[in-house]
Amino acid sequence: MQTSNRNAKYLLLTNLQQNLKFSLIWLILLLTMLASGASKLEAAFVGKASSSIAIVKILQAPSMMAMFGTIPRVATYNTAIVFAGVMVVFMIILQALWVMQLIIRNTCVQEENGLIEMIRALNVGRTAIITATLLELLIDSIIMSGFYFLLLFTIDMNGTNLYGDCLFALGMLSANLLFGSIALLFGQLTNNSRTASTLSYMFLLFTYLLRLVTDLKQQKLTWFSPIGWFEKVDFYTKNNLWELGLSLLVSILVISSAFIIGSNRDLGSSIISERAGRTTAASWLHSIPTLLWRTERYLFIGWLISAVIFGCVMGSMLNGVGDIVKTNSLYRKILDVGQINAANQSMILSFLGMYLSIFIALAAIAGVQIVFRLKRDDNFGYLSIIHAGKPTRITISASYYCFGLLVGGLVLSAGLLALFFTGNTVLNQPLPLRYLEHLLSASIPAVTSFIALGIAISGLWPRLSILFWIYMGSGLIVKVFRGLFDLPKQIDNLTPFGWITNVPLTAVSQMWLSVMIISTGVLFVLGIAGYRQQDLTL
Amino acid sequence: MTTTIIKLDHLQKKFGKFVALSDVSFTLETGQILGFLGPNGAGKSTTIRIILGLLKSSGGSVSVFGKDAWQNDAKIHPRIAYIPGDVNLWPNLSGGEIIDLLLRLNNQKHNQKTDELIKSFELDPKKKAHTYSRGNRQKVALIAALSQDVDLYIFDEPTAGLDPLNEQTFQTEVLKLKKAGKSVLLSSHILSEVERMCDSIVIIREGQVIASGSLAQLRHLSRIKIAVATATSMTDISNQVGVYDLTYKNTAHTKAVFTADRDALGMIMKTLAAKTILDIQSTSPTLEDLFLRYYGKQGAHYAD
Ligand SMILES: Nc1ncnc2c1ncn2[C@@H]1O[C@H](COP(=O)(O)OP(=O)(O)O)[C@@H](O)[C@H]1O
Ligand SMILES: [Mg+2]
Repeated sequence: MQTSNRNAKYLLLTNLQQNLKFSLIWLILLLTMLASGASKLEAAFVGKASSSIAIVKILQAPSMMAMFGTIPRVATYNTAIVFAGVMVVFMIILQALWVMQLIIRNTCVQEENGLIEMIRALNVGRTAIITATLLELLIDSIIMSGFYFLLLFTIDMNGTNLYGDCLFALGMLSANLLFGSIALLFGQLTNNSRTASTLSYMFLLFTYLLRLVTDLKQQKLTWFSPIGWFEKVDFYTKNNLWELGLSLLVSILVISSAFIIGSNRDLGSSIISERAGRTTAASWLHSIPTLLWRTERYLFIGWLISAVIFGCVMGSMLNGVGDIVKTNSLYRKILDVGQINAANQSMILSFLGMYLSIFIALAAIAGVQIVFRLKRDDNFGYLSIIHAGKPTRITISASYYCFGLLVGGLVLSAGLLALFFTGNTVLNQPLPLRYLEHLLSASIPAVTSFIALGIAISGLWPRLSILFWIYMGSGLIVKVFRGLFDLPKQIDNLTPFGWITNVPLTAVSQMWLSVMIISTGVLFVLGIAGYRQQDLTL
Repeated sequence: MTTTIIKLDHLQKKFGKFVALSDVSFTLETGQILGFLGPNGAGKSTTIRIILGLLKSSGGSVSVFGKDAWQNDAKIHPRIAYIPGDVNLWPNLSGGEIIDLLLRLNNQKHNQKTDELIKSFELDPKKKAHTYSRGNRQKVALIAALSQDVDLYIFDEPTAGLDPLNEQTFQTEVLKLKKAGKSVLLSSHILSEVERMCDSIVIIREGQVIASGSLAQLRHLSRIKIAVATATSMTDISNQVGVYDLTYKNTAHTKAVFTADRDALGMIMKTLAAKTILDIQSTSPTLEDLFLRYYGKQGAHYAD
């Protein structure tokens, strides 16, 4: 072990420096989310018994439970209990997005760049890279949870205590270790960053869906989802310690397997071996669009399949969402069957409205990924020979951009169709088709306008792609939390998520529909024109 | 009849505050093989990217086939084959796939020439690009470029990753292009390579052209450096035609270092042989030698 890790220290320092900006941005984001969540809830609870009961009621509704996780059933609620119920799942997902990227940057991406080949030839041990990456994960996570603790201690929500705050911070730390180690393992199993990050995100989506389904249907089974372990700690109520032990144990097992694989595999190769390629190109490979299909098809198909699975899973939840009204005896006494059905349906529609934004966000990410690939392929130098050939910049950029729009539109449609029709097979009272129309007619333009924003940024300011993530991310967060907190309507109206607020209950308004369609067109043209003017730094 | 293929006129390029090119002018005529010579970081790739319309110049003018390189790239590019200095390929496509794709994107087809080139460069087209070494990636680009029938070929340090055998194959191919009357712009940092293939040379340093002209005009560049030891004194060699930069390494004048014109070599050898040669070494001058010896910062111009 000693010799395999020699000089890991210098690697660690270099990586820390290399990732400083990236990690700092994420850290600030996480702390802001935690602080605003805690202080908003505290403000809502303090001195307002009615509003606190209302919040708990809202959170116990199935759509919220699906989104945020369960909230324990206790006699009296305080801010801390609600805080844990709302924030645990949410923070874990954000943190996982951060640490998984971090790990893959440090391992796969550097291996692809040939950096690791150079480093390994120096006096650096075989597993030093893994060790350095793990240490960085640990240092970052300790800093993160230290700040979490300080924030919680300072805000001092009603119902917190030192032990609870401490446990929460520790819990989030072990969540980082768990998801980080999973990404580390995937990185050692594959030979490229793309597959490794796709597998990691798939794993995250899978654990989220598993906890969502079990939270709604059979809460005992939430155990099967790693995210569920952290829900089951029941921070600030039961404070179960050994659930954290479970996650630590699993992390250690996963990390050890990553080490074993890492110390035995060839540099640059994967466990999954590869077939030889073709001697000549297929006859259809003759243009930029078909080139994109050739290089991006697995990504595209992967997204499509994930969208369909996500849609089917969410669709099969719809009867559970409706049932709750039915089984509530109070509702049954005061409402007749028709009214109950109507109430069920409006519950279902608001559930759909909530998840519509998640579908939009996922589809926009799928499309924008392809849009941003244009600049990435430029920077990697893949396109330099092609740029010097017959295809013009307009052809090249329009191909990437249109492919991105197409992928976004198709991923969204596949997901929503799966959602709607699976839903209708499980519902006693199927939803009329006009709601599907509402869903699609609002969300497709929303997705295309998000992607077109990515297109404009990629053409005009290719280095500022973070602007896109900030805009869409904050829009989504506002949308998700709007049900809980009273946020000013104007904030909501800054992104397409707000423009389609009442969909699918009603159709999207003509005005916002035209805004989305026109902005898609304008932003698309801006992107193409911007790319035409760029210095192509290859 | 010769026409101008590339014309650069006082080209400048700034990256932010950094001046990558301060003054670059040269022309490439039809049928000419022009060597573009300069040390690393001199601005060769930057110049080539401007010629291709990938970068926008900050001053001066660039015309290719008589058209502005930035404005008319769509009209210019179908007539060009290009190999970048650092070839990077889609990792998951095979070499064979990439060659075909690059050809088709320029409205050309995989032809007999392509197969010949794959054979003579000994490339395995079935392998995925991420398994290729630098030299192999270079070969993929070379094969795609050389099997095209276009008017202008631009090679940016094409032999950097190739072994001597493949380098030889490349030189043979370039000479074929020359016979066919094609125009070639070839950048390199190796003087001897450029000498072997090109009929004109442009030398660039720190973003500035410091010398340019035909191989004959730059004859002195190809002078050979000779270190010799003789049994008897060779004082009279200083009067010999074609001997330059003579320095004696000892007081007896039996050890000397000088540069010599190639066409005067026979005469020089005769003179030296009379003194009984004990030891002799000859080396081609490197670019650094040239810079040290002939050009201070200011440089010199022969053509224009
Ligand atoms: N995109 C860029 N931004 C800033 N500086 C650059 C950029 N591209 C090249 N340079 C600088 O311009 C100079 C010339 O580079 P280049 O043309 O690649 O040299 P050569 O090909 O002759 O080795 C170098 O100093 C390089 O660092
Ligand atoms: Mg170069």
